[in-house]
Amino acid sequence: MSRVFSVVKRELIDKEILIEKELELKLIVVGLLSRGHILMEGVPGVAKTYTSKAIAKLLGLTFKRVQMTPDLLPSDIIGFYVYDQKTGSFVLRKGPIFTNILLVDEINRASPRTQSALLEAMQERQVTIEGEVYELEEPFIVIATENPIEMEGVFPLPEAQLDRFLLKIEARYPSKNGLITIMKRADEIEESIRTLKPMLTRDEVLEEIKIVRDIRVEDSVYEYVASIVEETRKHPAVRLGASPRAAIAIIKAAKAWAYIEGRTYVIPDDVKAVAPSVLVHRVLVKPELEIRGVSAKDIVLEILTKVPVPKP
Amino acid sequence: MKKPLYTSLLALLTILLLLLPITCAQIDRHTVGFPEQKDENLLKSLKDKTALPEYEVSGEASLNLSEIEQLLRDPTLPLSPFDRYQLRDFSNISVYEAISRIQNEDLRELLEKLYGLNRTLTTDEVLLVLNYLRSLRVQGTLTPSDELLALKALIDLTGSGDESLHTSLLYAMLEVIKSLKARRDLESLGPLPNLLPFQPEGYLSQGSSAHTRPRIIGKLPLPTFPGFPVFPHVSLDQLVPYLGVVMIATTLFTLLRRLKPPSLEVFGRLLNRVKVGLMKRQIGSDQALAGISDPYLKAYWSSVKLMELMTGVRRSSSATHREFFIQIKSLLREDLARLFKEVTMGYELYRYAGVREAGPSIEGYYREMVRRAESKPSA
Repeated sequence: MSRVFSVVKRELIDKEILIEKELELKLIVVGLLSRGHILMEGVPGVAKTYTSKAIAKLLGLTFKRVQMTPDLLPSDIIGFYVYDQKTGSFVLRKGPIFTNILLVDEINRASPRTQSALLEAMQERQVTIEGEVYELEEPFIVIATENPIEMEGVFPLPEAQLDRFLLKIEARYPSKNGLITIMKRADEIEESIRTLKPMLTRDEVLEEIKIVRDIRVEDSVYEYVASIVEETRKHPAVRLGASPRAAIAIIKAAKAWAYIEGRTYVIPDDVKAVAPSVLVHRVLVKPELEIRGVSAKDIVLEILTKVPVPKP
Repeated sequence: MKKPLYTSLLALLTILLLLLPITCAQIDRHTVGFPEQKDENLLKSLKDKTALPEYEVSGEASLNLSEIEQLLRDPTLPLSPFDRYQLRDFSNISVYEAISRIQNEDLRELLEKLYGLNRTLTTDEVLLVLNYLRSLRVQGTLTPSDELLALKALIDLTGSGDESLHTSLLYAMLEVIKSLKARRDLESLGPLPNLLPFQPEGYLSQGSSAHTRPRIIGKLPLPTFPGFPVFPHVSLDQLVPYLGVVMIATTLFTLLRRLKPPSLEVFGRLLNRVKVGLMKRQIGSDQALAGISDPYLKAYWSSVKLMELMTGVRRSSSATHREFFIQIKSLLREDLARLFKEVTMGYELYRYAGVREAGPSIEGYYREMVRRAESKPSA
């Protein structure tokens, strides 16, 4: 079983530091181990920041947070050169992107220019400042959040940029009992997160990333994923189906999921487990059906109940 | 053999005892305690109290809606404030208004449909509605205001062409008012004695002489069933066939229970053989299975087919091997569930993990499953 996830589970879930967040944490670890970025959708106050911060601390990774605003410039994220009067030369002031886990709060509040600069860095895993290329340190994962109900003063992410996020996670409200526990233990939780000690090192995380890359995928599983992706394009309620990048993302995420589940091979169950989170932001529903309440998630789930699993 | 007979007789006796209240209620057809023809004075006084002298149904008096409305305004009529509100401005309301005020949804829908026909109703149609009103009244689901409003709507829907129908409907309204007055007067007589089906003989002799209860029943020290339902429309001769069926079923059940266990076991074994034979045949004739060349994969899919046949749960084409196992696990007996889990895990390792060594175990566990199924084919 993945040491990364077992540490996260033991320290954050079992000790009730993050309540009712098992699936979200599991998917974040999937993102981390498969070198993908995560789009987290949720209303304010559902512990999105705490979740990211806690994982970073536990895994001995660096963590930074950027609050997106319309006047934020690409250089505010990437970095810029400033003139140092002492040395008489320009020195690089690195932006918050130089970290292992970057939490980008309310990504859709940033201008399209800043968004694309960030997303380019996410894809290339490197940034260019004043013509010089800087590699970003591995592991590098962006956890971007967006508020599903805000419509004014936001710049929705274009489809092409959404495609760069490996997974989309819905940060949900806790149940009533969960909420009561959170209220009772609010101060304790805050203190626990503040005093979290790293349980793993960056190298150990990188080692697991390598292992995940080598997880076995049988040919029929590739066929199964291809059928799912094709089906998203054929579905009558879909305006834009999933891209080949989506198919690659499913395989990557399924490998990480299988590893977390303690296997060294992918089975169709892993594909089914990750497919909704991988596809939900890549499948666009026809507007006339969207206003009638048909969601991408419904379509993906329907496809998963239709596409036959590998047979002999 | 005596025991089943005694059991049957006991069951019959119990049923008869339970039926007694029904039969008694049938004998005594008039409302128990309600005065009948014999008590001439009581009847006369009641008639005097409930009669509406000016509108005795003689056919001579002319009656119209305004006069009905006048009668409805009588403050002594036992109408609820809501009924009075519903019946406000009774003679002047439109047919649509009358229908919309009706509270009984079925009745309102029926009248709305008739209103939607946009034509004058025929006498037959009116009679059908009147019958329907009567049935609702018997069921106790018709309030006086609903009945009067329905009659008012019918008057408007029949138009003024058929004078006699019009008058009949007015008299029907009058009957409703009469029954209300009768109720009021009965209430003014004070509380009636509580007469349950089983009362001392003396009191019953004051009522109907023609339908008094047979003496033998009256003398029996029978318990009273104040909450026991009485079915006035069920006659005893209709119950006789049912009684026969109950008797036969009771006797058969008792006899079957007395059958010796070995005979059932033999029957069961025979059934098992037939059942497993059929399953094997179905698995053998499956075209999809015939096309699988790998013997281990074939063993897994054969086990899936066997499980489908045993549990009656068909595997969906989109269900994974693990999902199918979870789906049927609770339906299988413990040994089969354990074996099928082994087969499923073996298949997973063989197919997805590439562990070739897992293949023979799939076949072995499948054979064991078949053997267990033969000894006991139920899931």
